[in-house]
Amino acid sequence: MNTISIRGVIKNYPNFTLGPIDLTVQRGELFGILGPPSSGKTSILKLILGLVRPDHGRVLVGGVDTDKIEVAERQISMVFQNLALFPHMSGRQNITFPLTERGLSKVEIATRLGAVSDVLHVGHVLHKNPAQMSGGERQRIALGRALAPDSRAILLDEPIAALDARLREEMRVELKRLQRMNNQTFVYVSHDEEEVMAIADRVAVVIAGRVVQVGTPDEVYQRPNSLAVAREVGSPPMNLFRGRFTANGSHFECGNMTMAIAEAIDVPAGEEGTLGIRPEDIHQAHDHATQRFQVSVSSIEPLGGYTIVNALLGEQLIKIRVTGQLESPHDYGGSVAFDARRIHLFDSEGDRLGI
Amino acid sequence: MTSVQINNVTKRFGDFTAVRDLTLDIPQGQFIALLGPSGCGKTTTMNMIAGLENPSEGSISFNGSDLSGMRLQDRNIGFVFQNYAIFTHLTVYKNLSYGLEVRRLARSEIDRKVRAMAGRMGISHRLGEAASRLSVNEMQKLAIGRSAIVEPRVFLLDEPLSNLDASFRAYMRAELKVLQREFGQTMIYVTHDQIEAMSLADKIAIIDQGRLMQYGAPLDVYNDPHSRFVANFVGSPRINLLDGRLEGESGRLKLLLDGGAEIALSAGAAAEFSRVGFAQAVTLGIRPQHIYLGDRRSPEDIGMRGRVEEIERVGPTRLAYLQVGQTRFLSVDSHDRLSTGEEITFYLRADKSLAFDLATGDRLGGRLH
Repeated sequence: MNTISIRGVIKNYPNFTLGPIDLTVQRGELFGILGPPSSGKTSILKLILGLVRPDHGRVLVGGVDTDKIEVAERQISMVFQNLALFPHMSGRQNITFPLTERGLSKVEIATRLGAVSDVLHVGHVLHKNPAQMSGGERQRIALGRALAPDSRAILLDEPIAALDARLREEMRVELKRLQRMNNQTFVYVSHDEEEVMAIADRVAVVIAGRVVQVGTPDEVYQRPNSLAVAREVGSPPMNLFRGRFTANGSHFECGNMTMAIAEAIDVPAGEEGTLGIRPEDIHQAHDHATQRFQVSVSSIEPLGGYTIVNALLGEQLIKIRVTGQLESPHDYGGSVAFDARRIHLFDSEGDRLGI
Repeated sequence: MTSVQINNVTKRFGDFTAVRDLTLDIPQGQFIALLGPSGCGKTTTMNMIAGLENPSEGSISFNGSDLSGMRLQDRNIGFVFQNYAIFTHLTVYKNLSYGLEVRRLARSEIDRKVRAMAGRMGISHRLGEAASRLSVNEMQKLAIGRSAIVEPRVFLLDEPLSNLDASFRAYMRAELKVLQREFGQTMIYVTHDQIEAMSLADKIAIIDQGRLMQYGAPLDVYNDPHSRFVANFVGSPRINLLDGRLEGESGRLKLLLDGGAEIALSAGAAAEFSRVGFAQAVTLGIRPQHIYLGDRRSPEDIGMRGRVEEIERVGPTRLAYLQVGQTRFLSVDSHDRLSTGEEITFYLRADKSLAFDLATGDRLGGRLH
C-alpha cells in the first residue's frame, strides 16, 4: 500500500541537478539516506512529500502517481530540521492538532498522545508553549506531532540533530522501536552517517545528486561499490592507496609497497586504481606473516574502548583501529598486515573491482 | 615556553555565574582540552585567558606572573576559531605575513618565515593564490599557520574542527597533534566533542555548569571517572547508567534497579559500593565493552539473563541492546553473532563496574579516591 517509488526523477535547480533517481522504499521499511552536505538528500524528501515537482519522471506512493493525490491526502508527514511548531499552542496541542483535524475520538487521541509522549520523554513539557521549552524538547514535540497521526510514511530530516549525544543515542533506538511497532514507513535523512547506518534497514548513499548505492548498512559498509561510497561511509575513513595493478591482476603496487590480491581480478596490466583497507582491518603482523609493511607510529588517539593509531606507511599517513587501550605510541610498532579478505579494490574510474 | 595558572577564578555576568572557583594548572608545552556541554563555561574560561574578559574573582598567570591588567595584544596569544578568521580577499602569502608585518620584521625575515610555515602546512604551492580559493581543509591549515607564525606564548583553539566534515576531521586531528609537537607551544583546546578531546589532549579538564568536574589524562578520566557526569560525558558508545537501590541481605549486597531487574553483587563489585550504607539510591555504571557473552571469565562477574532487543551497526562495531525487565543494557556484539529476539546470558565485569551516589552524582568507590 504505502510503498514509495521514485522512477527516473530529474529535478533541475539553478546550480544543481538532482537525478536521475530510481529508488523504492518498501512498506514498513526504515529507509535511510546519507551523503555529504548539499548532495540532494533533503530534495529527495521534498519530492516525496510533494513540496517539489520533478521535471522528469514520477513519484508514486502506494502505486498512485503523487500528481494525482492532493498533498493533504497523501498521509505523509515530515519532520524538518528547523522545526515548525505552532508557537501559541502547548506541546500537547501541537501533537494532537493533526489528530483533531482528522476527527479522531477523544479516547484515540489520548491513547496516541500517551504512546508518543512516553517514547519521546516529553510528558513533563506537554503543558508548556514552545518558547518555554529547550531546543531538545521542541525537537521531540515536533517528532511527536509527526508520529502521532500514524501516517503512511514519515519523512525525517535530521530529526534528532539538535539533541545532545546521549539523548540522540537513546532516541534512535526508540524511534526504531516505534516505527516497527506501528509498522510505519520511515525515510530518514541525516548528515550523521553513523546515525543513519545504526537506525536504517536499508540505506541509499547520495552523492552529487545521484543515488550511488542502495543496500543494507552491512552491505554498504563491507562492500562499497565505488570509491565515493568508500570515502563517505566509515569513521575514521577507509585508508586509500593509489597505485597500479600488475600483470594478470594478481598484485597491486603503490610506491614501494606490493600487495598480493587473494583472488586475481580481471584488469589490464598497469591499470591504475585504488586499494582500500578500513582502519580496523589492519593488524600488527605476526613474524610469519607473508605480507608485512613497516610502519612508524606518529601518534595515538586513546578513545577508551579503542585506540586510533596514526602511522606512516611509506609516505602515507594511515589510521589503524586497535581494540582496547594503548598508553603510548611505543606500545604499537614494527610491521602491520592487511586482512586480505577485507581489501577493497577500485579501478581508475572509482568503480569497485572483484567481489 | 609558557605555563598557565588559573587560580580560583570565578566569572559572573549579572546574576549568572559562568565559571565557579576554577583552579587549573597547565604545564608548559602541554595540550589541554576544556571539554563540556554548550554553556558550561569553557569558552568564557578561554576568553579570560586571552584577556577578552576579566575574572570577577581570582587570577590568571603565565609562568607564575599575574596577567591582570595586561592588555590582549600584549599577552601574545594565538587564536584559531571555528570560523577560520582568515582574510579571504588576500593571498595565502599575505595571510601568513600579516602578523609579522604588524610586528615590523625585516622583509627577508618575513619571507623566510612565511615559506617555512607554508612548507610545514603543505600549502607552499598555493602561496600566490587568493585564500578564498583554498579548500575548507586548507583554509583551516592556513588559519593555524597564520596564528602559529608569530610564535605565540599560548595557543587557544575554539572548536576549530567543527566546520569540517567527518573524514577531514579525523585527518585534522592527527595533523594538529603533529603540529603541536613541532611547535612545542602550550595549547588550550575548547570543544564539546569528547572524541576530539580524548584523541588530542595530554590532559582534559571536564567542565559542567562552570565547575571543574575532573582534570586528568584521557584514559584516567575514562577509566576512573570521579562522577556520574564525567562517566556519562566521556566514552563512545555511551556508558550504561542504571539507577536503583542498594539492599543488604544476610551479608550480601544486591542492587534493585528501577526497571525491576535485580543484581546480586559479588564481593568484587560490592567493594565499589562500599562507601554507602544500605538502601541508598545509587547508580551502577558499566561500559558496553565490559559486558560480555559466553563463559563466565571470573567468579566475581555479574551474570544476567535478557533478550536482544535491537542490534545496530556503528562503524566496525555491532551494538546490542539487551533487555532485562524494564532495564536496557547497551553492549558490544564483538563476534557479530547475536540476533534480535534471542534470549541470552551475559556478564557484567565486576572489576569494571562503577558506583555513583544518585543524589550527588559522586563516585562511591574508585581507585584514585
